Amino acid sequence: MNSVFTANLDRADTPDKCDGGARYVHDLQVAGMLHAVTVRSSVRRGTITSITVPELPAGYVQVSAADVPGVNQISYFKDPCPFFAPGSVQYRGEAVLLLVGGDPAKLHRLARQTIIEYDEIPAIHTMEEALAGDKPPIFGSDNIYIEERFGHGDVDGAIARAAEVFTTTTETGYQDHLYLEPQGVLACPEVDRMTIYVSSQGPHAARKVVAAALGWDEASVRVIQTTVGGGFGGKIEPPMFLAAQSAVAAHHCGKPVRLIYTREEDLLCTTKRHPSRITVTSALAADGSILAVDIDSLFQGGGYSQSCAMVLDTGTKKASGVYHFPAIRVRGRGLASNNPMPGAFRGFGAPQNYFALETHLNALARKLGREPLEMKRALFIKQGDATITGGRYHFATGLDETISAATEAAGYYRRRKALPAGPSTRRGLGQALVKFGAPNSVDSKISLDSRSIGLRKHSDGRIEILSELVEMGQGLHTAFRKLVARHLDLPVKRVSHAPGDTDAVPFLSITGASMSVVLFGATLLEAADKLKARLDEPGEVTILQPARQPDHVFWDATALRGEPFHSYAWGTFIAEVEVDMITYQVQVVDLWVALDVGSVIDRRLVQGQIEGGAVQGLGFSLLECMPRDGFSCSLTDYLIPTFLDAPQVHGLIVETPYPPGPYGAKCVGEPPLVGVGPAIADAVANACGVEIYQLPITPEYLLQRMTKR
Amino acid sequence: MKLSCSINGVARTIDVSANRRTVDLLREDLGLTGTKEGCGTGECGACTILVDGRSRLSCLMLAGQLEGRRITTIEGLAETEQLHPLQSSFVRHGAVQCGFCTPGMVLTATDLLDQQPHPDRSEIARAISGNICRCTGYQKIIDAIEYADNHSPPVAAAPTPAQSRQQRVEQAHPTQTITDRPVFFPESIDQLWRLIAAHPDARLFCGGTDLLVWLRARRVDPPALIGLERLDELHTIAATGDAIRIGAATSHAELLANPLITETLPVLAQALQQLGSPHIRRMGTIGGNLVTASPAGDTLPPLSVLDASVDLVSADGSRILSLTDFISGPGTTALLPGEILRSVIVPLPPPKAFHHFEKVGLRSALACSVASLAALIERAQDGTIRQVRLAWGSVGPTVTRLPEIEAALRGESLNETTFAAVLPAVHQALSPISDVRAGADYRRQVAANLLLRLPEMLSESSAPAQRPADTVAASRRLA
Repeated sequence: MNSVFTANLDRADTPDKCDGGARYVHDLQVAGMLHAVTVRSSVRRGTITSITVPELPAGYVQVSAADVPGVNQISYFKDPCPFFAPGSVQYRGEAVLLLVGGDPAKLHRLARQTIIEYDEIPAIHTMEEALAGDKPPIFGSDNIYIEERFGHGDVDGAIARAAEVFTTTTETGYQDHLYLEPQGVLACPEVDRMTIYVSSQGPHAARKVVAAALGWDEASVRVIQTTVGGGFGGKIEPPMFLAAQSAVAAHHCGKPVRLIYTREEDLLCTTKRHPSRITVTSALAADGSILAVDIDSLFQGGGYSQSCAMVLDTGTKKASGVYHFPAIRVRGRGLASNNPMPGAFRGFGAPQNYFALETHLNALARKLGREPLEMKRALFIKQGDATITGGRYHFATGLDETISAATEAAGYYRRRKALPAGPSTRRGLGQALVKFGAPNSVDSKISLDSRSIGLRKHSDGRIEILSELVEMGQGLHTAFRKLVARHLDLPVKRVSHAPGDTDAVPFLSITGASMSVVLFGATLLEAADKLKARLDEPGEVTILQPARQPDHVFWDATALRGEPFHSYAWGTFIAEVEVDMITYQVQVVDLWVALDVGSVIDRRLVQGQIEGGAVQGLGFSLLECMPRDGFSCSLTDYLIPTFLDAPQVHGLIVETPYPPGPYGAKCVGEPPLVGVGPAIADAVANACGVEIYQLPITPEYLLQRMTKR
Repeated sequence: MKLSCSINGVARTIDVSANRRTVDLLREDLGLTGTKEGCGTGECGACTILVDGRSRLSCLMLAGQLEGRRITTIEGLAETEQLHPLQSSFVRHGAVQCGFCTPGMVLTATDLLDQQPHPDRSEIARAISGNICRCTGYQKIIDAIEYADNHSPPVAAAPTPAQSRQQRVEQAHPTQTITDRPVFFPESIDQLWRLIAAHPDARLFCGGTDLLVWLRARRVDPPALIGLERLDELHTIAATGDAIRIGAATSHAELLANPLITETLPVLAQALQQLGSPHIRRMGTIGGNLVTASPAGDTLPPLSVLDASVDLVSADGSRILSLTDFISGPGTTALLPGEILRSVIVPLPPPKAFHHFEKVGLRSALACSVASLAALIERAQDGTIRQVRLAWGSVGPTVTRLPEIEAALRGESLNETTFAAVLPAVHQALSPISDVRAGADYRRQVAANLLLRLPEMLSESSAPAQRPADTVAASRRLA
């Protein structure tokens, strides 16, 4: 353990969260505040022919696309993405208008009485329909939001001369973030200004969206971040919609407007993980060794692209896993549909691709009778190898250490073949290997100078971190305080965070993609270096440090060549499952998650991310599903793990320092989730003797697999 | 109404509609926003409060139910400016991430440690299984509760919040809202009959864990509500000769705490242990479960094999019906207008009978059953089956009994071969439907398969045993 950080730090935000003092957006009330209720599309796809709102009582108004003073577009996105239905709808639950007034119960009644009529257009329900082209396209001429190809070597040639070709197709479904705090915004108009209180993962992004919606300059909009009750990527896109809608309403009424979603609305219309269907083909030599791999990855997007391009892009770049194949081709496509709207979600395209690749390799090992880890080891990426985009793995990989840590803790080699079976139960151990690149490289021609993070020394010696990056439970602010205190050699209690207020902190970035510590933490230390020389100056000293990519990163976003990511976390997941052969229920008994996260800043926070991410991954693997072509709108039907579903998670931390990161740190937010699915699937396959090609592994799916044999 | 109750140690009289949800009263009207609302349907536990010291879901309680009660919210847990030992322990153990579930977790844990000092890790997990956390993976929460239990009361104090808790309860700006539905809580049967006569279309409820969900979803919109929870005679459990009489307003948790039930009716107790969540078991009642008559109602199969009947009473008199005659389909009972379910009558089962209940849900707590089986087996001297009663839940419009299967099993040996032999016939006889939770084929196959657990459970122990996946596995995981 080479970290300079030995002690865990109690978080500054938890006493308030423990005694009810923390203020979440739905806790805010201001005098004269009005409430807003959203009237939504009841159809998947159509042109609106009429809207009939009942006669509204005095003080009640409706607000829709016609009332938008600026642009009816989430300006964060390049592709069309209106925040009020622009005369047509693309998904069920799309916001058509807001009803605003004093009594939420009355508003709900009026909303139920509002009649919207449509000329329906044949909706695209599946990826097959999106590709078939026999319905009017949703996007462009082919329903493809994005298509990318990466790779090297002669894949077709290898397949042509292969002794055998092995193909698997895996599918994954929707996963909802299910942050415990539903979406919400409070918009407060002031003289020539609009203040937005929001639970989001990026106050400056929300400001930009609101300013464009109102047709104002950004300085006229102030966004104040409230305590975030869970994000996981789900507070990136949806809050922008709520912020724009409620800002337009507040502007229209001249009064504060609060828009809080019910859980049912939140499940219906906010983003989810993209469903996927991924086909992996490997060309095998006569001895079973892999000559080439071909990956065709389809992601099902929604009626607007939103983050589809970003998710597909990062997922596709990660699709080669921890391997350097002799030849590889990866093709990724993000498709439009009129199904529930997917978007950013912890893992950002990686969980789907790792499930596909690791499942393929584990099935291949079983077919060939090989020990899977040994079979995979021959293909591991080594420092200096090329990425599938022509870049390099510049730094040491901690993959082998994570394998050792996990296999030893789990007794993997010893117990794998000798697990006890009960009279009606079977046990299995399974494994999966992952790497997680973060952050995404930005085109090297683009300067990051407009983005900054800073420090302010107050005259009383307190140090304030000026950062818009959001504390959403992950512990980021605690990690930043420790980094700054250590770098300035000051007691940590002298370091605090400035409020997440666009008036108080500069534009930097959305908080996500596991990039905050590894990239902006390093920028923060550059600011600390500058402040260190000026600590003894009297009065207030403010340092704003522009962000920049580290020197080893070159990325050409046009050619899609260079380093796709700055740094890589590496991980080994081992799951032990017990399968009930009477009910086909799978219980994960233990889950070992060994991660190379670089140097650790706070061990307890890292463990918290591992334990929480692993259980969220377990939900994705076993429980959480929505009909791909349907909706689950209540917590009675959409089930996430409870205390009794959570296994013992053994977080095993490997520290391979990443030199450009702050004190060698990499990332830990997303990696604990991404390998859980394939490890559990492998364990179930080993227990039951059938291959598993679908997540979640419902008892019903397992029954079908076992009776098909 | 003028509601008189104690909130965080202060006696209050509050002008509020009895129909207002407790969570709205606390959060919107009183500014006690530490109570969170995560779902509004009793599925997440974020809105947990303490009522007379016991945890309750404030989204499934009406203000009228608080009359005379002592309410504690998270703001009132600590009696000084220092955090409560449990709160400190949550801070110290990294048991808090986003914090949205934390108030409910802390209050539920307070209730647990108050009721049951020194629970083990598996007991902690079961007790908090009605509270959902999406951030932590739960382990650090169990650590925090275990530590607080072992170090209570003197826990190293965590930092005091910057501001006094009292100061932070900001001025609330109560929202004016439509609350035009009267709610009554009669305290005598005579008063009940008068109310029913005056409000013939009123909806009666006892527990409200289903009704409040339906009201919120507008599945029902009655002009008035009458709650039965204050009728003392509906709360009694008594052995009367050869039967046990259970008052309809008895909560599932009260039944589980009563040795008469757990020792005499293990099959019912096993079902109750798996019903909903700890909160739902405290709020929901046996009468409510029967009158709701859900095909997935967890008490129905055990009461069926126990040959229970129901005692119905109205202003005009009373009558007794068998369970089969009482429940005729999903949500359909023989209750007449103006009639209530007073008690459930359960004949004493044969001594030494083998009791077994298994529920297949899609997760281990807070799950609606997709198939369940209750079994009551009497063995002859030679170990063969003298008498067997089997009842399935969730595979038909109401409880499914298969008399021809029961007859076929009589006299047979209690082994796997016996039960395997009847599987095809069971398979044929069951007629489940497909819904969002499971397809008909899965339900049919698994419901039949559940019979195969019987010889296994019998051989493990001649005493009534619990389902291994729920108890043994849980304690193994958490040991």
